[in-house]
Amino acid sequence: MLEKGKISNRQAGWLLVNTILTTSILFLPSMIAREAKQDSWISIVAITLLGLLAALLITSLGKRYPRQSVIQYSRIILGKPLGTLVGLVFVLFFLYINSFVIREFSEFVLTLFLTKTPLVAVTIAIIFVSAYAVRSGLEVLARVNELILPIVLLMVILSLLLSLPDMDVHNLQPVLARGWFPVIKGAYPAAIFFAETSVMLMLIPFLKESKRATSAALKAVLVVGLFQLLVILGVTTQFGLEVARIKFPFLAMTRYISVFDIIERLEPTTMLVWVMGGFIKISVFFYCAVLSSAQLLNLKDYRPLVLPLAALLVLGSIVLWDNVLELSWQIARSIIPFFLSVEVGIPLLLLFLTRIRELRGRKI
Amino acid sequence: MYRFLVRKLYAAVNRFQRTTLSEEQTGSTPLYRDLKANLYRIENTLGKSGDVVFREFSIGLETPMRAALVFIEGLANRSTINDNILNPLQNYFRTVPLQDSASPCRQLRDSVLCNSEVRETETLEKLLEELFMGNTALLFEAHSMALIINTQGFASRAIEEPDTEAVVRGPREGFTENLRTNTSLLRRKIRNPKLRFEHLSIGTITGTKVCLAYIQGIASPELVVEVRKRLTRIRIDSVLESGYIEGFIEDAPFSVFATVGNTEKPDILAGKLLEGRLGIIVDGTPMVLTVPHLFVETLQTSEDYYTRPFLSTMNRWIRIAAMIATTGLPAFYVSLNTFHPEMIPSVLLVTMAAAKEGVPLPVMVETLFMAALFEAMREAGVRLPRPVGQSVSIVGALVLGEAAIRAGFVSAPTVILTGITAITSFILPAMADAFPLIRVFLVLLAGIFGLYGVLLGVLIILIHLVGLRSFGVPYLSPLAPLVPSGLNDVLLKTPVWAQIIRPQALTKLNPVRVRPDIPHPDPEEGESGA
Repeated sequence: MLEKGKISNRQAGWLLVNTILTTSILFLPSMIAREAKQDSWISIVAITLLGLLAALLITSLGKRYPRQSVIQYSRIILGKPLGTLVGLVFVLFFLYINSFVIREFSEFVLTLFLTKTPLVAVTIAIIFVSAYAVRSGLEVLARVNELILPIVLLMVILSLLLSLPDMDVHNLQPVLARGWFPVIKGAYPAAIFFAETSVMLMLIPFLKESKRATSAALKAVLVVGLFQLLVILGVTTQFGLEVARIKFPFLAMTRYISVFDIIERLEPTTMLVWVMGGFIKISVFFYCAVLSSAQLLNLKDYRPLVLPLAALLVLGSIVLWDNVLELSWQIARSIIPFFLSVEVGIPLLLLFLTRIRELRGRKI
Repeated sequence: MYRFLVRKLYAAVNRFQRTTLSEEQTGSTPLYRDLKANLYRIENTLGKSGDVVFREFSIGLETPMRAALVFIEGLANRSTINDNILNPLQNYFRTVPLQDSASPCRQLRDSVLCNSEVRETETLEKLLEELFMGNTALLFEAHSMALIINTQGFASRAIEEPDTEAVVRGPREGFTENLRTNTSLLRRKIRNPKLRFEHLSIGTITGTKVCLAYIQGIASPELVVEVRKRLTRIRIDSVLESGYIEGFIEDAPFSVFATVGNTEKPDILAGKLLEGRLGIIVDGTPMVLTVPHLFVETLQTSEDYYTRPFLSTMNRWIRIAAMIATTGLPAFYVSLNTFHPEMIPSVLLVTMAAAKEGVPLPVMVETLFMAALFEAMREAGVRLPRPVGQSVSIVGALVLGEAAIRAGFVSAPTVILTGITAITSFILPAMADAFPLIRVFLVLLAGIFGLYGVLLGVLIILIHLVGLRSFGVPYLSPLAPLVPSGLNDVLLKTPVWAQIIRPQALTKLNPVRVRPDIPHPDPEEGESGA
């Protein structure tokens, strides 16, 4: 085994929550609101249901091979050459999505908090910290997350509670004024966030109870959906139709908070949520990338790969996109089919093939 | 790079040890039959030291037999020797004849010597070792054997309340430098046959007595074996304080966080043993080591368990807040000032800007400078004699604080902040060695990356902390990995009757502390049940 540590199902669920939640809290509200307007919350409910389905699909595939990751069992299912190809696709996917997240992360930190710092410095700093966590292993990552997630969730709840005075429920009306189509169209970009349960394809072999991974993943998706719903409701009731035009509605919401004119400008809380949660997200994808490439290359230890891949991620996150506009265009539109086909499409195919093989095996 | 340095350091240490610390031969030299020769040899081995006393005399009236007492002045109690050894030896044989002059030891031990502990020895090394412990050796003419009589009675400090762990409520006694006193203090707390003391001798020159204390049936056997193994592995010439032992047995010698705890109070040690920990009592120091040592222990004090739960819980949170303040506040201040002034509330911003008017140093340098100054004053306050110590505080408060602000060398907010940092740092004395370093680390990061840097620094510290282990137990347990049943002694301090099981990370044996079937005070009857 490459990874000697085992994590509990709760730890895995918590990792999943932080992985999906952090970025989606910041980016999703305005992405959905662009199409769904005041009905964004219905989109979230719909996409959460789909997210549950995706989680079910991914974990039921993983549970069939409780001691192996997708890189290893795709070779069994598809044969060596084709399986290796699928493994390569996953490695590239993890690297690509992580470059994406890192660029998102750095741009956010840069534009809002460190306007004069060069992009590369911010990127290198976060990748360095992530590399340290990844090198220390999955157990360490899961434990750090156990400390971070409660803080992140507490900060989100706190920001929502303190914004209560600025909220107006009438902003949610009229409900479904333009029918269901905009709602579904709005839900579309949210799909890639909920499909991030695909990291479970790599993590299931390291769970203490791999057989019960489904419930952990489903609970995680539900928690994410709930918080997502709360945030969307919060920003929609506060800003109404403006949400679509604000890049980071959650950040804007925390900026408006003012309690007795003393507690105000609570951006540090957003900063905290973003850096802490973003760190977990980046580290989880980084870990998946490192582990999957080690498995693809049949290495005995994944740690020699950490630094080279870290360098690759720094490079990728800076070179692949010219500016933020390109990045946000991709995340909203063009990248979604590719991500979804890797995150959900390939597992669906693999599950389909295993089922067929199982059924055929039973007949014989 | 770091690992490389560590490896180099280990290699250097190993090479050095091989050349210098040759194992001493602990041979066994039998005693002669000739009394004079024995005494001569003892005197020579000790290099004619002035504190060794030889007292020769005769036993019996009809067939007198030459004998001699040897003891070390100051270690042995003279009145015990006079009253319980010499007196009976001289007087007893006035009436009773010496039964068997060929082997007098038996008669002496059985019916003459009025002492609770009399042993025999036949080797010179054993005899010398007993002498150094304050015992007295009785040698006879024509016998290659000596009686060792317990006469320990050296001066030692009385049992006092320790300065380091003062309490408002709770026992006031503290450990002393005497190992025996310390074990007795612990026995008096835990009257149970399962309380075990394992003795070892560490230090090839000093031969310091070290005692491993634990409760059989509560401490996990694997842990006991592990600690014993680490203790017996130590090869060093001297052990002058328990810190020497700590350095050898700790899991992470290159971490700023201590993975071995220490205490000066028997009630605290008893509490730790009852949680499944082990104590290492070292002769010559009141500081007793406890292992495994977890991070949450620094947030706990003995008084939490003696006072009512509401106050204890509040104190826990004050300590957590103090921990965050003393490590993070200066960094937060620096990052807000240098990178994010827009985040400071407007009213406060104006005041702070006015205070900073004309201050020459950048905020980061100013903060580091004041922090260094405070550390210097603290160190000076500890080292200086008490009367002089006061002048340090006057100079610190008036000259450095007040005058520096007036002169415009430092800004008032920085001084206030250094003050808060200083006060909060005293709330967690156990972390006093780690926190100043963390503070500087975070301030430096704040100077480079602002809040972003501070958060990254916190993440690095967290990653380091969750990866640490103390004797196999995760350092941040029960927070990470989360053990929900353990949180009632970390974030909350529930009443004693609600702390039903022992910390699960430490031991799985004998988990029930409180019998849950015995009802706790019923709220209906007017008692506060919480």
